[in-house]
Amino acid sequence: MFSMQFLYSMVVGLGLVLLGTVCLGEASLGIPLIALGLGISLLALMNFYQEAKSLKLAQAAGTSARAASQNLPSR
Amino acid sequence: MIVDATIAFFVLGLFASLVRAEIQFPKSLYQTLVLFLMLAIGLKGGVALAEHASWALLSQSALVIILGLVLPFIAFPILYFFGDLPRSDSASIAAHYGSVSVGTYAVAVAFLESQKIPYEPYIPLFVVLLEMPAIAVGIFLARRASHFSSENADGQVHNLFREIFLNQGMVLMIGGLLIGYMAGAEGTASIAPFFFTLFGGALALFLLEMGMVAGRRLSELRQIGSFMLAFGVSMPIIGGLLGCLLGIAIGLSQGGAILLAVLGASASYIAVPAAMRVALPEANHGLSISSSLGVTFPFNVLIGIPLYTATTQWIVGAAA
Repeated sequence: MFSMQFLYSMVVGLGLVLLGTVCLGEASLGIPLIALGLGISLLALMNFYQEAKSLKLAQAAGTSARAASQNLPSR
Repeated sequence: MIVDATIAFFVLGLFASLVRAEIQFPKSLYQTLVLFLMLAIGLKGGVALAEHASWALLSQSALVIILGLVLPFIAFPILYFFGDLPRSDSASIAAHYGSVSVGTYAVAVAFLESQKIPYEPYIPLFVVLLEMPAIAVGIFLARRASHFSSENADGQVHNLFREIFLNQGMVLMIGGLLIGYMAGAEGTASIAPFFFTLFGGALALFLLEMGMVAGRRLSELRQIGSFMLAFGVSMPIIGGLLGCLLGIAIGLSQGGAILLAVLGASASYIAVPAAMRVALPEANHGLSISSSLGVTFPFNVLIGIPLYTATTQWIVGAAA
């Protein structure tokens, strides 16, 4: 599930890329805007990947803990 | 390609900070420069006000105050609903983005003068007017977030009042405006070489220090994450567009509309942090400063001001 933070960052990042493309006629304005937009999108994707990875690890740890508790001999 | 010398000083500060060059910038010099810039902007505006005071200025001022009231109400829901930030942090950051940065305004003035774009000389009045409502809305959002504790509430309100109306920026800029207004061009002629001619040099030194501060804050970008980076860039664009449209609507010249766009886009890092520390002690003030000083200030100085200029020129051209 995408978080609102991730969606907002991606919208802003891609919006800046679009704005930079429109402003490309003035290279000193267009290129920094595109670079900034790509940077924000990349950072958002990295944050999202890290969050998803840590969530997956937590789920895996929870599953193995449940499996271990089910394998315990009953008294 | 012509390099703007004042902005080059900002880049130099940024570079020096990133390569960890050992530049000792005395704190007292920074404070002196802030004091000088505020007084000079106030004085310049006051002299212009004495020459251009009119009834039309009253209606323009009222609309500018409304802009200052609206901006925090736009920033707050973005931070609270999209950013998922605590209510107190959202209120505090929204107040920063509703207020103005005198440093950014000074850079914009230098930029317009280097581009030879004329502007209304009484715009400093709008700088003062835009500083007040944003703080008041910030306090309103803050009071909704956390009421003052009943014990020592009078003391807190008193401190807050002092921070809003008697902070360094308000006193110096209103004082400068009044002195300039009462003395006029003739009365200020003797101090003009100091306050007006040396303005560019003082601004360059101020930007050198601001570049170093912004460079130090850049390392915090990893911690504040992509959302705050996106907010610190998108909010000035929203505020800049609103300021530009308002400037055109109230009949300002192209240069005046650009300056109003810059005022709408800038975020405070001097007056509002002090007020918010009193109003919302539990808010994350580091986050507000990192965002306004580490993201929005460099964005406005390096990309924003040329962007607002191009946008205003495009809108004025399309409307003509």
